[in-house]
Amino acid sequence: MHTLEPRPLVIMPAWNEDLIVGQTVSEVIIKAPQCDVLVVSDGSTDRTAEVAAKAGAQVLVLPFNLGVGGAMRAGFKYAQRRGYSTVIQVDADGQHDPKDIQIVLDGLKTADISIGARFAERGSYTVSGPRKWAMGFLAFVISRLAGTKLTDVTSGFRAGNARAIAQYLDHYPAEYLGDTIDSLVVALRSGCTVVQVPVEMRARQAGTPSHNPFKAGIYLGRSVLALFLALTRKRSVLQLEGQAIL
Amino acid sequence: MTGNLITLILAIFALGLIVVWVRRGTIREKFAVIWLFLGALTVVLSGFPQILHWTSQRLGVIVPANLIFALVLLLLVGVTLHLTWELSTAEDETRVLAEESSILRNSLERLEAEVEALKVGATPSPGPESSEPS
Repeated sequence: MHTLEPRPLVIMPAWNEDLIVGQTVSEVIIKAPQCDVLVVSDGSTDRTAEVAAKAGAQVLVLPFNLGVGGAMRAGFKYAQRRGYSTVIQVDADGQHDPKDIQIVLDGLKTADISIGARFAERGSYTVSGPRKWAMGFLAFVISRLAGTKLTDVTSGFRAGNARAIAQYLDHYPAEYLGDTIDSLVVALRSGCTVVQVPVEMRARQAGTPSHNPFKAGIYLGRSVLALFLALTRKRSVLQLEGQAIL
Repeated sequence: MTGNLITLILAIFALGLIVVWVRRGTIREKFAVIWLFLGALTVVLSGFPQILHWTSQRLGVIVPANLIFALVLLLLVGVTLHLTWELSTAEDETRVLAEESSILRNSLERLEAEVEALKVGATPSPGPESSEPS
């Protein structure tokens, strides 16, 4: 058991992002100097790990691709082993503005999980078609569950405290959309509280977003499936510092 | 009776193959049990087809072959479910190993860097992590 680490840990899952990850890490270190940065190279076959380490991040190298959910799980495990009590997930592609990290972290003062939401009043990120319906539907159901209005439940820009980390380690599905919807629903049902804070999203600095309506339709189907699976999963009983907190 | 003879030979061959695989350690015993059972059943049925006729009469199945088909379908569904279960468990275990290996690798690299720093006589450069003064 390591001593308690007061600094927040930025967890950045990255899969073959060596073009951008270095820049993103440097930007986080400059704009959020209060944080440590961990890059989880998710089975990358390029120089992601090397570039990230050079930029000043701690690096976990997964031997094969596990998906964002799997990478985040590894990150949470690392955080717990190293004694971090606050983590925040930031995308490696530069979509999440590092200057908003503190805003999202501040959300933890009132809740266990804080989500940086894409279109809560700020920013210019827009979606349309089936993807929009999917997001609307998911937001509606999960808001009811959370007892608070959430508009962007698939946002990957989210922070968690020690309680959330413990819950995530007990149940953080490594499956598609598991890192966003499933994990959130189970966390809520296990008694964690969630708050949403408005942030701006930037255009991706590498890679292309998908606007294919067919893919968006599949996304709708899979997200609804993920939601229903999550609603039927068993709750986790949280153990923190030896005592159950439920 | 040639049909039965062919079935008998195939079943015995399959049984032999399974036994050889289990002995070599190619397949695990828990997977072999079902096939051994099935092979033995086929051997018995091709040797004594009257067992099948008698059973289907008792169960009210008019064509004995249909009883075989129904049973085999059920069995295959069962086997597939079992394999799905096993594969999911194995994937989960692999994932945990991947997590552990990555965390261990991180610790090792950290230690190596510290040892290297000690070797050259300098104090280990305190990373963001190692806040203890040395």
